[in-house]
Amino acid sequence: MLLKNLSIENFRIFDLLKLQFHPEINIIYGLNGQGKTTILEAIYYLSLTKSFRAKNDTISLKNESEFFNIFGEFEDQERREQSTRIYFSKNEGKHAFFNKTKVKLFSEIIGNLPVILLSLDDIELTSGFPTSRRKFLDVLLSQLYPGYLQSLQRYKKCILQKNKLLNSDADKNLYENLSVWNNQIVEYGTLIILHRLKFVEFLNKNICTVYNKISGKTENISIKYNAHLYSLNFMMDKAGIENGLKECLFNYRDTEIKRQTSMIGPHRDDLDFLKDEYSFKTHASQGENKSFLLSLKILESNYIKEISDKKPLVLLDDIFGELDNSRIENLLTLIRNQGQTFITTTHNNKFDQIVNDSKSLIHISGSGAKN
Amino acid sequence: MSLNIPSLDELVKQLARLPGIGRKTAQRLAIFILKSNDGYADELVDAVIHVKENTRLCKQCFNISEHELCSICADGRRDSSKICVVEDIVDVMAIEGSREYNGIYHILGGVISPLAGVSPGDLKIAELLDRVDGGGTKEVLLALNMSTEGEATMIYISNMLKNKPVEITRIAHGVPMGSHLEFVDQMTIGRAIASRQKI
Ligand SMILES: [Zn+2]
Repeated sequence: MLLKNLSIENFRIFDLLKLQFHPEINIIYGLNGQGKTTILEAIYYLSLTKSFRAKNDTISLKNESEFFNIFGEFEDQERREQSTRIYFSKNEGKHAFFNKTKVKLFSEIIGNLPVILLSLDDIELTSGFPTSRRKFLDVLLSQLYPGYLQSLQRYKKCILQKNKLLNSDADKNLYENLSVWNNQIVEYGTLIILHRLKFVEFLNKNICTVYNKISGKTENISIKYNAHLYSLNFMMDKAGIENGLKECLFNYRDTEIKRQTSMIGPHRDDLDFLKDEYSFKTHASQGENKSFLLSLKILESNYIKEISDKKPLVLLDDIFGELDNSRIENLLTLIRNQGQTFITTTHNNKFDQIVNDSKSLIHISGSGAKN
Repeated sequence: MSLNIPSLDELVKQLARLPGIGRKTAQRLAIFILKSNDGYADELVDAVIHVKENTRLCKQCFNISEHELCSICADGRRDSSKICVVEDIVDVMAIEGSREYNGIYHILGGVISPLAGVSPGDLKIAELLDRVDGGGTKEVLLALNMSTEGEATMIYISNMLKNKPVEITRIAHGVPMGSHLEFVDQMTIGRAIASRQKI
């Protein structure tokens, strides 16, 4: 995928900003608070119709503006020209346009322009709560499989409905009332789990090679899909997973009623990152953690290429801060082949030797930009 | 924009409450009514009052009716052994518009949704079971929307009818006619494939 240009209007600190991009690497530099990350955020919007750092769209609206607009033109894997536009206003809500035609569901455009993001917050993946690891899986798989996104949306709706039911006082026919949601939780949940397992299998096949290449060490790294309370293994087919979920939902129904919350299903599952069977969280150094995160991102983009035949946009948000030039060079050689790359940094001089085309350098200051 | 004419503003306000009518359309309708000859405004008012005064719900299927039984339930040419279960009266209109269905209906008045405070007891499900228990029903066709709430309601009703001597069917999850496969969402395609038919 090749993002050729971007124009944003009333978005965060920018009134109006138009940028042309280099097909390979773009260094977006400037002082802190000048809106560098905002540019990555806008690109992410074009891919996923939402922000990676704000929970709602209003936050991204420039002060006192009625609306914001993000428009980007790109070339797809067959070099066809495409465009995406995201429009949001407080009154009209959010609308997405593909090739200037409004789409009915955002799921119709998610996946057109796949993206991977690496930021300092990604440290959450190894050290944070399970939520961030499920989000990692869900964002990737939603870009690859429209059916995953739809199942996930329906699944989440069923969990909300079920939790509401578990929270209500009505105990009359509760089993029967729960079963109408559990039934669907099994259907959509199984689809979600199947796709996640397939990706985890891919990770396990490749993680050691990539990790060892990055770290220069020989380690035994593996990733385990941690099914919460129900039994699961890689050999299971669709029917096997369905039966496992069904049985577990049945066995735990009184516990769920007592605790008034849904305890079983992919919304409670997790990933375990292991080095020699020990958790990365507790047994890896900071450096190993970084190498691992980078390996995950590279495999994420390899998976996008394998499944969809598209090269993702690679967004690197201020991750080179304290690294020296040679280390930066090493990392960049690894990651820049993954796809068109967008890097934010406060120190453009670090990239002098790496970037030989001045068109790659985009200076951001205040509310303007220049190549 | 308002012309600051209170009586006109009030009409616009009331029209804009109608589903599918935005403020602009409401203004156009109000101006149309305003400019029409006196006869039209009176006829419109009469029709509105008449529909409220003279209709009630059919005691069998909960469709709108001017009599105890609605025109569909009272029509002897229709196959009363088939009951089509729908969420709302507008769904009856949609199915009737197709002229493909010759059975009768049962209108639930909503779908199960704990978040919206709707439980099975709030819907006409007990009345449906009574109809089936009363005999004469061979098939119950579930024709609810494909939302998670519609699905939940279909599952609930199927469970309730499971041990009764009726055939339970549901409308096919299908690919809409005339739509290109590439624009149909993947779940619809997946389900359409899962429920494929021999030809
Ligand atoms: Zn009737």
